Amino acid sequence: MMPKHILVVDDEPNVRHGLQRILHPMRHAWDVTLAENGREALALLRCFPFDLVLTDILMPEQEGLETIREIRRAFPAVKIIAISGGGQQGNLNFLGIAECLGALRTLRKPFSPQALLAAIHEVFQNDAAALPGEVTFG
Amino acid sequence: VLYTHPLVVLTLLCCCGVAIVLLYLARLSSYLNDAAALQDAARYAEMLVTFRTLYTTEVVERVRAHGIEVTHDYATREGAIPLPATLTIALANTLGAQGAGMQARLYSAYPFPWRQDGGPQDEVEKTALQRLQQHPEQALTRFETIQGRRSLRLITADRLQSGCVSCHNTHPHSPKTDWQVGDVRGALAIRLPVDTMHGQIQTAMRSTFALMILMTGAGLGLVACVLAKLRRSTTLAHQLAVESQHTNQALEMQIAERQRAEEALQRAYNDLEIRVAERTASLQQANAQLQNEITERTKAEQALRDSEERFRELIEGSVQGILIHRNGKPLFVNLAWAAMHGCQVGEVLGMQSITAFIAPEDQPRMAAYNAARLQGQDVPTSYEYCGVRKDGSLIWLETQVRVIDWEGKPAVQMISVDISQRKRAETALRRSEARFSGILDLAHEGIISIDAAQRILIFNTGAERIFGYAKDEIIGQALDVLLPERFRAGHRRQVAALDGPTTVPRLMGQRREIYGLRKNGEEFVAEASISHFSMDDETIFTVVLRDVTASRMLEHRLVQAQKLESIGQLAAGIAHEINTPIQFIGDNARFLQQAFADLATLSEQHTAVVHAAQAGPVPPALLQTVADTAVALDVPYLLDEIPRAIEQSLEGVERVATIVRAMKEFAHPGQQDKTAIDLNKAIDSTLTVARNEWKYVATMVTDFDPTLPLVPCVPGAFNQVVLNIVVNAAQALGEMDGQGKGTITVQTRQVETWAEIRITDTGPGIPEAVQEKIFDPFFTTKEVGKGTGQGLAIAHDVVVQKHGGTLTFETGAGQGTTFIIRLPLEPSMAQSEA
Repeated sequence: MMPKHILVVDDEPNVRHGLQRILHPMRHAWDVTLAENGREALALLRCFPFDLVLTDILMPEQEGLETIREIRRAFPAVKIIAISGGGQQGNLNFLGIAECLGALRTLRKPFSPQALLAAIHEVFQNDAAALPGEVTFG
Repeated sequence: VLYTHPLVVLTLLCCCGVAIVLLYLARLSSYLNDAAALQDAARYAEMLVTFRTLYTTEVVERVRAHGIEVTHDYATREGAIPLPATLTIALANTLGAQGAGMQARLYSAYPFPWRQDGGPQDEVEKTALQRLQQHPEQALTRFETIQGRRSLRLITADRLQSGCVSCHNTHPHSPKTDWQVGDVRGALAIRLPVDTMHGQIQTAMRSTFALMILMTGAGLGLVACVLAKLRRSTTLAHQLAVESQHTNQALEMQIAERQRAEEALQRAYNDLEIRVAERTASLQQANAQLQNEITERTKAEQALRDSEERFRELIEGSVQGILIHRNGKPLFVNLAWAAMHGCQVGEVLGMQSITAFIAPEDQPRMAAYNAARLQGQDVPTSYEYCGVRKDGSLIWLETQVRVIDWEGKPAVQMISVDISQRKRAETALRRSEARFSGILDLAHEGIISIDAAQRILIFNTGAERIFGYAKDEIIGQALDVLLPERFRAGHRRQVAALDGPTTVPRLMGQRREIYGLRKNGEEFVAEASISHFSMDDETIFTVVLRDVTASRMLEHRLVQAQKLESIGQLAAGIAHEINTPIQFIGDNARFLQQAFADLATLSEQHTAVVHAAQAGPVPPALLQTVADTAVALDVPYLLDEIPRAIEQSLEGVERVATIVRAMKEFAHPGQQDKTAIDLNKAIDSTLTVARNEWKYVATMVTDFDPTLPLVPCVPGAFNQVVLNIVVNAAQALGEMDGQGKGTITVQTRQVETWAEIRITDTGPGIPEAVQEKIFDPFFTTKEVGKGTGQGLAIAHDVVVQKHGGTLTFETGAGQGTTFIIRLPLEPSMAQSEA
């Protein structure tokens, strides 16, 4: 089975490394790449194939919501999970907006490693379930 | 001569003119005639030469080549043509015979033998040929008279052309055979009569002369007519002048006569005037005597009339109405009384009773007075009553009554004054007072007036509501009861100082805050305006006050609300700031837990290997298991990552701790009094708490003065000021889309006796239009939901009111904004609160 490619996007290096460590036990199935912000993520997406993008919402340079919209437009096959620490600022519910823009799952910081793993599994599971149908008709 | 016989002179002049013109014309015509003849002769000679040359080149040379004979005797020989000279002579003879009278002749010193007349015929021709041989270009001209006719003779040189020379030199009969081109062979003589044209000119001259004589004659005749006419006009004018001179003399005589008559008239008038003056003087004297007599008589009469008049005026002209009645029947009434009641005097006297002039409600009282008075009882002699005018309107009268003797019997005399105006003024005053007191009681504000001795004169309903005293219990009391004990002495001094004569209510200073004391002993804050007013040596102070306890409470709540608003806003940011480290601390802990489990497994296997080694040789399978486990667990990764995970987790813990500490620093719950604090530390905490507000839009630069002394301030309030300004700066930078991060710089400095905090952003600056308003409460440029517009208003209030500092800003479009907070370093400089 081919490993899945996961792109983790967060402006906070400690968070990026923490997530990488969490995903490390799945290293045989998942290949993890790190990006600092939305712009870097999109540059990577243009060069390498990714199956899933795990992105923070509030980031300098290019923030998450905009990144999600651009990924949906340019790479519609890529799955997205949105994560956010604030989640809600003023009257804006960022995670709700992220879902509307096409994030399949949202996670509010602080979330447990299990919740993250479950969400990723779930996203890939749905993907695998959809696959045979496509083959039948293909 | 010119004036006396102008016609003769003119005629002579004209004749002379005509003669001169004719003479000139005759000369001119003769000259022109000669010139024309010369030109004709020259052209004729040229034509003959041209013809001969043309004939020689174009005919003779060509035909000779064909053997045709060219000879002078061409007429007698078959197939021969004439020589050029022969043909030319023939042409000239033919033209001369046609009647023009022109003759042409060729002659030479060397004529061919067949020409008998070929040599010069006279002296003239001979001389001409000699001169032409020397100067071939100079033709000879000569006017001469031959057979009575004037003629022109023109003689030109006949020179040999190139076509002629060979023939002349070879001809068997040629008298000379060494001719060369250009040699003068002979001469061409032209003779032209010139008298034909001269005769024609003379005929024309004669007719011209006749015409001129005719025109001159006609002109002179016209001039003669004009002169005759002029002469007649002059004669007429002369006659008229003579007649008018006669008339003038007659008029002068008449004027002299009239002047003499006028002088006689003037003398008669003067005599008459003297006589009139004399008569007038005597009449004036008589008149003066008469006047004196009349004046004396009039004086005596006037004295009598004056005495009567004075009496009548006293009665009739009196503004006081006078009425005398007996039992109501009017006996006498003056004009004033009648007028007061809208009647004529006669109308009043015609009435049986004056009852109709008294208002019904006053009739019984006055009837009773009247009866009692006539009986000699003691009744008021002066009273007011309401009268009735003829038209039914009412009139207020003040009357003085006494009993008098009228024609031997007692009667009542009433002297009345109209007091209606006074009564109306009194009513208006009462109404005004009622209105005033209504306004006083309606006013929401408390209104209190005191006199110079500080006794309360007016105490309106508003004041009752504020102080809790009833009007009745407080009027007349000293103002002191409304003031807290500690302000009483000072207040008295202030009022005394303000006292001074003024007739206009004067506002004494602006609204200010005072402390009042309610009846229940409660103190309260009021806003008061005081005015003072003097009239008739009496000074009245009026204070209008508004209980601001409620609005003070509202203001306090508003500050709290804004604080809550900013804390609410911060909470989300702080949550994010804390959640991030919590996230990676959790992730790392989980990783460490897993790593520890993995390493524990490996450790167990290592222990097993150790035990096996102690027992004997280690089974290779066991070693292989250990090696496989180490590979499966990715031990090098774990050994790299574990220390990092621990390190990052500790960093996360520290970060959380910092935020929590900063929150505590920032909030200072319950701390309302001033305390000396380290501003740098306080600002640092605030920036930490607000980090999430600026970190995405700005780079924060701090430039703190480490030597800044402790500054007395209310920490929570000060932190809020810094927070509000920093959040505003961050929002300003956030509005500048697509320009990357801006910078916020926070500096602290000591400037003289002030601690100065400068907060600078690189945002768009504050537009000029709103610069004046930014410290106004509720003014905001932010969209709904992003701020209540209280931030800077409260910041201003905190810095200026609470700390006695200043809050200013410097800004420019596109140059960013700097807010400058200055707080006094010395506690004594700070205004005492309240």
